[in-house]
Amino acid sequence: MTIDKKTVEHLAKLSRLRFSDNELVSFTKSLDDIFQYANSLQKVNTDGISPSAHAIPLQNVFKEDEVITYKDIDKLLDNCADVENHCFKVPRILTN
Amino acid sequence: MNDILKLTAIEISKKYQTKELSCSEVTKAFLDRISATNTELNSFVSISEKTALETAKIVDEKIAKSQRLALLEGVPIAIKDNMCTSGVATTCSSKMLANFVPSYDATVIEKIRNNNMPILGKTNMDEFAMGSSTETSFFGSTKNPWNTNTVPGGSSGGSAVAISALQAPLALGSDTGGSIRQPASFCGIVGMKPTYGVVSRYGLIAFASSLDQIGPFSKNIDDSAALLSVISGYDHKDSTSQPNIDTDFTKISSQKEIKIGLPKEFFANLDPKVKELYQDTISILSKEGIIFEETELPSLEQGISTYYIVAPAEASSNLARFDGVRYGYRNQEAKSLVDMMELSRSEGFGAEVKRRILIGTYVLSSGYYDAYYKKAQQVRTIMKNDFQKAFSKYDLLLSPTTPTPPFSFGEKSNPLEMYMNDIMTIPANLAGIPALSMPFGKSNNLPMGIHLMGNLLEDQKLFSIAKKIEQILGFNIQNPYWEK
Repeated sequence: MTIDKKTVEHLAKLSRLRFSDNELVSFTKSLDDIFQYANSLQKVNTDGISPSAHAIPLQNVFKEDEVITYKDIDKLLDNCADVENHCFKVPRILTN
Repeated sequence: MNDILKLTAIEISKKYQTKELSCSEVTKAFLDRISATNTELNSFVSISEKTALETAKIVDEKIAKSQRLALLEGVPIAIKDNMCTSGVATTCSSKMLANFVPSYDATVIEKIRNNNMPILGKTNMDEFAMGSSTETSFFGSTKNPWNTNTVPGGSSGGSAVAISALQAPLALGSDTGGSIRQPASFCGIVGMKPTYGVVSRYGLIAFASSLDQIGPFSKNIDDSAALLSVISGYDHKDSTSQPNIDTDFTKISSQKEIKIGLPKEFFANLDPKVKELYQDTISILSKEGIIFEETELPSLEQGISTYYIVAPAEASSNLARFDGVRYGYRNQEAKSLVDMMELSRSEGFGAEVKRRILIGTYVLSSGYYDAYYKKAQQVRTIMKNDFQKAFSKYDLLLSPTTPTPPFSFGEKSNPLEMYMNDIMTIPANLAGIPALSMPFGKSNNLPMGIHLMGNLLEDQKLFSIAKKIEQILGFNIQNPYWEK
């Protein structure tokens, strides 16, 4: 399996990233190198092996559905580039 | 140079109790050292002199009243800049978060503050902890005090340098694939990654959540165990943290017979210089009664492939939150929401971060999920099983920390070549086991670390055996920069 420019263009779209032509070429090359190498995984027999999402078995944690008021809302909003009436302001969502 | 700087954290603690030193004096000494050396080394991205001295004053009042100080209380510390500090910029060394000021403390920071440990500043790192040289930082690379043409390792390069250049007696780093242990090796100090879940990740800006773990940097093993005792413990804000663990790691246990396995899979990749030093070290330790045996863990050969699928997959998902809406860098010219998100992410992230997002997006996308992500998760299971088998026979597993000595700036421009540097350290993150790097020798006057891996939740045993090895090897951590 090789990674081509078209694949990287598609991945960029999925990840909400934009690249110049030069960047596309460079990322295509490095991703192709990396996956050529990672293909060695296909040699490993994994029949009947269950996948591990975590290193240590984890159990679901349940908590009471309590409301804890957050007091530093202004400090949170200070990190936003554009605020209006205590709301995060963004450019228009629907475009022509 | 001020002799205070050479003291270990435990030595500083003792001198507080005997009133030989005040906390303000010690804190000031390290702050002065930072201001004298940071222009050259670039290990700190921000310095918090005022709050550090305020904390020191509280400790000095306790000392004046002859009140008992807690373990490491009053010992200054440096913090990697991916742990949230309330009111202090936390940047992940990225343009994306260059102006981000958290409104809350990470759990580790809360513990450090509650223990009155003056926070000296935040340390430089590879952007979002993605890198092995601290070269991907938006704020420029950090220099290795052993030789300033050499990288300090990464991603926690700034924290490692802080210890090695005597800018701080203790530091915190985070380790996702070796980001504490590899820079510790390159800087000739001790760096430890605890068992997954021993330290809360709450407030640590996530890279790969199933692999990330916070851990200590120090001059020696005793300081490392003491700092882990301060920062560890269950946290209801991190449901992956371990409940019911003994958080006193300073109790050194001794055992009659120590049996250490040497994974064969790592031998093939060693630089000749590293190999020679490694074999010499094993023969020194054998003479002191430690039993060594070659062993096989076949899945270790798949460590890099597995990691560079699992970690980017988790990263691509974790970094999706950086969209310019609520916090982080925002492009101000965009005319639509989607434009704003795309331009903010494209301008806010550096190349290595983008590469990992692309890899992660690819392995999680339909058609490739089973072939890559699921396959890597299955190999992860096999690796965990290999380790469990090995630890039924051996107390620890040992290898060098890195396959090569520290390298120069720009030497590893090919990403895959850079990733290969983590071949020895990655498996411990995939299996969740504790591991540490401690200095064991030098090549061309550059330090190299030896890597010890222990069984799950046997962090204390790891420290105990490491301490014995430290005593036998007696490595001198002093580097040329100490004279500056």
